[in-house]
Amino acid sequence: MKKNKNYNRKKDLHDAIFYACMVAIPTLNFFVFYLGVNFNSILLAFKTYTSETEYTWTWFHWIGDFFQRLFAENSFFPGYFKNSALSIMYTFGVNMTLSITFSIYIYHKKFAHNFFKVMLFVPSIISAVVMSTVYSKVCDLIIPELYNTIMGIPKNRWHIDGLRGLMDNPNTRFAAIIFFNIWVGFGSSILLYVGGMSSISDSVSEAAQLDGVNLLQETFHITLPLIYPTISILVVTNLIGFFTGQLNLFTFYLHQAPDEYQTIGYYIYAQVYQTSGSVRGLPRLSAIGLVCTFVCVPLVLTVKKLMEKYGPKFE
Amino acid sequence: MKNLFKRKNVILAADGVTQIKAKREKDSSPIFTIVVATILIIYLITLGFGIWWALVTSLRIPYEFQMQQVVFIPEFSKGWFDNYIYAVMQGYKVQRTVFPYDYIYIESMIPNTILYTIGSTLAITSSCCVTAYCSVQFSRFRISKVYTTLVYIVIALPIVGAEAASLQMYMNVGFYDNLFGMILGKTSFLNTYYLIFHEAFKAVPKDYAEAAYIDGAGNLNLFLRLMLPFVSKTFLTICLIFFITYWNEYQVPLLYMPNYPTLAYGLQVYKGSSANTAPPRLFAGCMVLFIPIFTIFCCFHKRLLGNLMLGGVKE
Repeated sequence: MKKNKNYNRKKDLHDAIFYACMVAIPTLNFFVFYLGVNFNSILLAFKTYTSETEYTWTWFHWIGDFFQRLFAENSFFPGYFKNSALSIMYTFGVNMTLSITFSIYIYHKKFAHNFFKVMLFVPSIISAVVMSTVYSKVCDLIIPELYNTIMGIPKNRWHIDGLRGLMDNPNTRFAAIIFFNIWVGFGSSILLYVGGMSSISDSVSEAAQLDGVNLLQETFHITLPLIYPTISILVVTNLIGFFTGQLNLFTFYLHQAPDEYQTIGYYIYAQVYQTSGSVRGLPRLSAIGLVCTFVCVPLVLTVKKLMEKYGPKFE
Repeated sequence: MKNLFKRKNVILAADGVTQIKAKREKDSSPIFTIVVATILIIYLITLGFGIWWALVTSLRIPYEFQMQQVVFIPEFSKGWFDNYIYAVMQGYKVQRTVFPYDYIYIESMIPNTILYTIGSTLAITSSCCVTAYCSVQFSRFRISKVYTTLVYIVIALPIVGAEAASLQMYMNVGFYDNLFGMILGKTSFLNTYYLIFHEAFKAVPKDYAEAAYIDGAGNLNLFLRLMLPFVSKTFLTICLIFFITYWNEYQVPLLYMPNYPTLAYGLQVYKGSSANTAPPRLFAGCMVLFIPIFTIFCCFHKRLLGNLMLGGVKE
């Protein structure tokens, strides 16, 4: 009995040592780059750096500065939040609807479903820099040329009567950027939806078909409720995108996107980029991030709670 | 069994048994199939059209492109490869932000990209795998539940605008502008792939581990020679996903290691500084980044598009 107890203790010790060695680096990474960064983010918001190494505690100065800028006349901040809201609206409305539709098509193994599944994933593997370069040149060169040729406008009058480049024209630029984000945004979400749908037992679908349900009924009463956890994760992720989404503006413009198109996520990132490694500009941006986090966290948790409460339930 | 005789739906097999070949099931929702297939075909045409036009344009001389921009048939006229030579020799260049402020060219970007991509991929995948394995194998230790709970909390709790604090932390620990520091900074388990590994390891029967212990295997041997091969397909799939992500990533190298540019970072700078660069040369630069990753995707798309769910990889 005593021998067993000693053996178990020795085994526990060996296991504990092995466990500690294996997870040492990931655990250290967690403490430094998650806990440390987020704690530092909170502290940074209350500091002002007088030099690269010296700072003073200015407490709510930068948070007050943010609210002042937010409500100032001719402030760009309301525009940033408006653009973020618009981008989420289009992501929810168009991207999610189309992703689920395409996923159902692939799940039901319709015509050429394997080919479409592979090709829909291609934009996800191509660099955003490549996609945005090709897209902007197509918008500014190909589409105007095709339009002007179809409308029969003489080539010497294209610059007067012809269609201007969609990315070049301020009236169409934002719409073109939103369209780009929809155009490249399918890949990974379709993979998740199809993955979720594939876990639905075939017997459920077969039983439904035997009962005479059509595709629409099967989708709304069986498929979507069963993949509801996947949908709710993506809804929450999209909601977080209100504060973090950049609309690929950095890819198009680096840090020089026109103010009227910027989102709050882009603004923060572009400003951090412009500090060029200096700490002096960081407290102001940390304060903005802190305020956004205080709004985002309860919002996301509330939405998550509501989705769990009012979502479909299964026995 | 060979089909010796085929008439309509009747097959006479080699053993003389006549079989009725199953009729292809009639599509129960033809309108849905036609509509969605049409949308998908249009979408893929726009996608393929853009990429193909970029590829064809990259093979054209800039002067010829000025004369006619919309060309879809490759013209291998004299100097068709000059754009690629230009992109490689002069296009991909990034100025150092510290003394001696010289330029970094593609011959440095390629090893940076390979090191960063492979290093980061292995770092993050290994961290997720190892932490998930330990939390499953040693679930009797309370810390195991803590790791899993932490992942759920981090996924659910959005932190906005931490780039400023993150940049400062990287500077403080000496990982800023340090390639190996950046790779070490990726050793995090706080993502959904931890949960995928967690489920994959949970699916492995405990009998194997017990039998291995009885045979005298130590913990390290058990992990490397028994458990890891069980989840090797999941490991490889997740490695591929991260490889593509880090190959295409430019924002992190741009911000955190400005003097160790990767190809994606170099292309972004090339694009940003190329207001006067002819599209053929710009597209040649895009193809340098696109072709390797597209080749990898073509070789491994089945692995990549296998259903990756929380239940492990579904073959």
